[in-house]
Amino acid sequence: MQFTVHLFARLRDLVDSDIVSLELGESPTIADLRSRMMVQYPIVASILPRCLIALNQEFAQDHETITPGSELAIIPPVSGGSS
Amino acid sequence: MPIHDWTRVGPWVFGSFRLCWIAKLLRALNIDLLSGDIYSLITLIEEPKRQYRDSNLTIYHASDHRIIAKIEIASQQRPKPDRESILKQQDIPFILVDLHPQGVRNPDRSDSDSRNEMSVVSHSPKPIYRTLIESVTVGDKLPAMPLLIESVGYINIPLEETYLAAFESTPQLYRKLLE
Repeated sequence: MQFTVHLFARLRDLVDSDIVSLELGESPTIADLRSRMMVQYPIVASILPRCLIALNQEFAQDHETITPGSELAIIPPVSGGSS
Repeated sequence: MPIHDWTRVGPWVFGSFRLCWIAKLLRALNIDLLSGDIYSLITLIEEPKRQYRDSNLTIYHASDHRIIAKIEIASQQRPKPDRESILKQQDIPFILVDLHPQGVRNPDRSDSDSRNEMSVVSHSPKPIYRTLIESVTVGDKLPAMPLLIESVGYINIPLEETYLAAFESTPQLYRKLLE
């Protein structure tokens, strides 16, 4: 199944697009989405584990299932500070 | 340590604690959390129509010093916003922490007693467009709440840690009444 994912901030800059299209299998989970993003866009692999993923405007955990037509967004953490 | 019942002490005690909490948040933001491109200052938030003004935190982008987000710890004088008025504020992301009873009502939490309900709200305008409302009450731990800023990403605001650090500065006399 094909899914559209909205990207924000640094992710958008790294991928050079605010929307990407991902091909995922049947009944994919948020973890599947992360894995597919890393394969398709390895440049984001280092920050993807710390990104928030929103599924239909709710923050989603890795085990949650993505259904057809779901609204998906990935929001990276702000980088910086001493920590 | 849970959220305290600040109605046990006079409003001046919470007022002092609140200023200390804001200063702890400012330090956490500028030293630990924000990059060189983003910084925070304590500024005055005003609502002239409601005759309300108070010090709070504003986050700026260093490139042009524009305001990109706000964090507000509600004082006891702050007029209570309702969910609709929050949703109408679609220009700047903000977090509003209201530890006074009858905060912003969370419509998804029907079992709670609204008289004792306090709230932590995180709102981000379009295109992210998320409004998170966490209802809390005395005895709860403050939730980790992300501040979502479209241009720079999310910041997990350390509400619990800074609340605890600020509480240490509350005079022992009042701490005993609150604990």
